Amino acid sequence: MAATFSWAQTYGHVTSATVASLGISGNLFNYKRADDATAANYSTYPVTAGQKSYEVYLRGKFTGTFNKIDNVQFWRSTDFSPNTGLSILWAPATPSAYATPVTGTNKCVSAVPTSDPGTANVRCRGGLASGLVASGYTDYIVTQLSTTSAAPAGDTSLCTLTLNYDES
Amino acid sequence: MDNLNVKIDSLLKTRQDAMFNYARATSELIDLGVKIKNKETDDTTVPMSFEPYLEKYNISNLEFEWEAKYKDGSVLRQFEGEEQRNFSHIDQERLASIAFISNFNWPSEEGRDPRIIIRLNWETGLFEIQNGFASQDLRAHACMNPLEGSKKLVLFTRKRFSASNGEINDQYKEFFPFEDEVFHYNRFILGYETEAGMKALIISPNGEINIFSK
Repeated sequence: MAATFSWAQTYGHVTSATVASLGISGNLFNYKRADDATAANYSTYPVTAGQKSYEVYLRGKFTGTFNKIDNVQFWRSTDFSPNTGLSILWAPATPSAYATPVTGTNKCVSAVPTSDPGTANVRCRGGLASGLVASGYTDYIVTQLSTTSAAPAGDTSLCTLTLNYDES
Repeated sequence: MDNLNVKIDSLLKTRQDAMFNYARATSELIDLGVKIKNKETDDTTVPMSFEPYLEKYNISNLEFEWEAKYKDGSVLRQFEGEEQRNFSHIDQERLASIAFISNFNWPSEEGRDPRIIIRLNWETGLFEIQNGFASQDLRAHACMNPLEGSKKLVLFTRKRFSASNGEINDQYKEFFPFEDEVFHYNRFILGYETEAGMKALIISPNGEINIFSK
């Protein structure tokens, strides 16, 4: 094995946050009005049309043997279908230190790219060019589901999120 | 009643189109070398063109690995028994050539190593494309006109993981079995850069070879 990748989610109050490993496959998480790391209870905590979900703090986790992981790119490969009233926002502009997730307008202010951005857009160790040189995590990828009153009731259908990186 | 039949026909067509598009898109993804893994069954797909070699093909995250040959004849492999090496272990001062080798044997011409895909002669800066799928133009470009100047090795794997998130409405769930899929795609890059620019070959997991130069 070379480097091993998996998704990780951090949740909870900033003073007592929990890091959960999400693996790489299956439904990693659901956007909901609860701050936890399970995909299971979304129907108990639904996002009502017009509301936002809790922010979801994701990271790429890398373990194993490698020289460097860099050029980390994140985008949304496919949208919900139908996507009426639904958009996934994120916080690309600043190195994102962890903060207690909220449901208001906070860090996630722009749309997640809908295609390969071509250059790194996820930081490691605070910089877009820094990369990882030992086992560890990328910086936070903060995302949030934003809805309008036009969003239909019920489950959203699927969207596909992608992480791309270079390993040497 | 006629309206109902129109609706039924329309839904049949939507469903048929969806099934056709799903099948075609899946087939094309697989042929590009995208691995689609089903969480429930743990099935991982490989390109159709690999079927003759499946017995020897190790379905892992790494379809190719590198092998460096030094001027003194010694060889350094990325994976050797329990040993794992990475870019930092390669002594570029002593390097004679470096190759990407695959996890299975290609149907090579006689006399050619069936596992080597591309080799870079470090002293001349010229590539040899031994197997894989590459156009004549690309072969010519890769095998001639090396860049001048002292070389820095370019060697990395570009990896992509895509996962589908979300839920299907309960009323549709039993008709939609595709939730637990992950899509995985690697590209393997070997080349060099000098003050004059960069020249590298990119191997896709379906064996297709492209060139990157600037």
